[in-house]
Amino acid sequence: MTEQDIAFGERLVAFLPNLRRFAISLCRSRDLADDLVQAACEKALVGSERFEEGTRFDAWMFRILRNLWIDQLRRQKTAGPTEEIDAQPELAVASGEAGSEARMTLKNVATAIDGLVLEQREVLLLTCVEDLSYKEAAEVLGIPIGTVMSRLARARKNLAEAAGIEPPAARSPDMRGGAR
Amino acid sequence: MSDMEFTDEILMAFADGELDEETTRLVEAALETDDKLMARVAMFMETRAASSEALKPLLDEPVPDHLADKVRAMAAEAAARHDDDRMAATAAADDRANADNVVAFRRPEAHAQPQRPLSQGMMALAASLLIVVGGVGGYFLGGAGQTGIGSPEVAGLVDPAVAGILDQRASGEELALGDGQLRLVSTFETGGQQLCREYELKRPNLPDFVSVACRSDSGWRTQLAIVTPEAGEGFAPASSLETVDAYLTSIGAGGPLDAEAEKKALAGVK
Repeated sequence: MTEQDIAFGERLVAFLPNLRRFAISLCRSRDLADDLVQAACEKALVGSERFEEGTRFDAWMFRILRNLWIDQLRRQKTAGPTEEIDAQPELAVASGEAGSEARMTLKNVATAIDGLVLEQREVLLLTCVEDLSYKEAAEVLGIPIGTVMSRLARARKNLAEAAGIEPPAARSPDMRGGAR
Repeated sequence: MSDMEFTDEILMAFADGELDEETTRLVEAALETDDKLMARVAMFMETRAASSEALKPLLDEPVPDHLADKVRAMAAEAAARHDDDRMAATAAADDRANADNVVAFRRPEAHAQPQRPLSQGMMALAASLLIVVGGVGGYFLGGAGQTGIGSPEVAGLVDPAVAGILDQRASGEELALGDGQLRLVSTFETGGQQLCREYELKRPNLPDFVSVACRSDSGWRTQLAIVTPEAGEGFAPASSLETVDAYLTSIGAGGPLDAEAEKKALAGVK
């Protein structure tokens, strides 16, 4: 067993929580997500030589998983109605005691993210949640950067509306700048 | 510069720190005096922070044991397989010449890295009887005219009867066509925003095939057609579908449009 092989396996296992989070938010079902994560890992292990050192491992994995999911959706189209999955999104919200206002807000936001159409949801997850750049997201999704930006802008407007996110009334001047 | 209009994309890129320096300075200058603009920028900042915050709990959720165990096992297996390959590659170095791989892969040089396993896409390719991409026309042997439906010529226009169906009918539908049967699989856009559809056609006494056609100014053009092995009842077997998937991934195909979006997109092309 070479060090390289071991390193790749360990990297994959260490990345499971992120991969699973992406999968859950993408397909809105934990059961589907776990199958998807497993399939993506299998594919990654088979093609591990194709990963280029020095490039983002997370982006590479997200792309594999996302392509698997799209393939699956495409097949489901023929297999029958897909409404089942779409109509009853299992909330991507961790269970726990509800109550505090902060928690309610988080829950609203998560619900609102779940409510976005797939093409807006995936671009939001990659950039705002997983911190990929527009360019990296464009590569994962196989679309031009301009499309990433227009979808992402629409996604965030829809999200703000659905979750009732409003900018604080007053902002101090030092909030200015291209802060992240 | 005061009546400068900033698009949502520019303000979003500003909020995300992805805007070029020059435009950043313009936005900053405009923000000095424009509260509405500030509110628009703030919305993009808030949505980013809120999304990231809202999905953080999912990271802390423990990965189910069965999943983590399975991935660990697969990783160990893959590592062991690489070892085997390496040994096999050494052993097989002598009879390299008469390797009868289905797909001719040149073995790596002797001091070599592990033999590259066939990708799933390549396997599927080998499993399909025939795949034709781009530029090659009319590969079907005779038989045209039996059903009145022409065979798909890759990079050629789709038969008018089929084109009529592609223009109008919804994915999931199965239609009689001559004495054959056509099933519409899905509709999607490519990375270049071209509208494409995947369909399968079964005809008596002729090979079945699965095909991807994209709409161009002159009509539907066949991008890919795969003759599918006899699968008895039903439509294309999984192995050929993997080839289609590999192809669709390579052209940046997006997810399938839902019924409503499909209707709109199809109406738009007419």
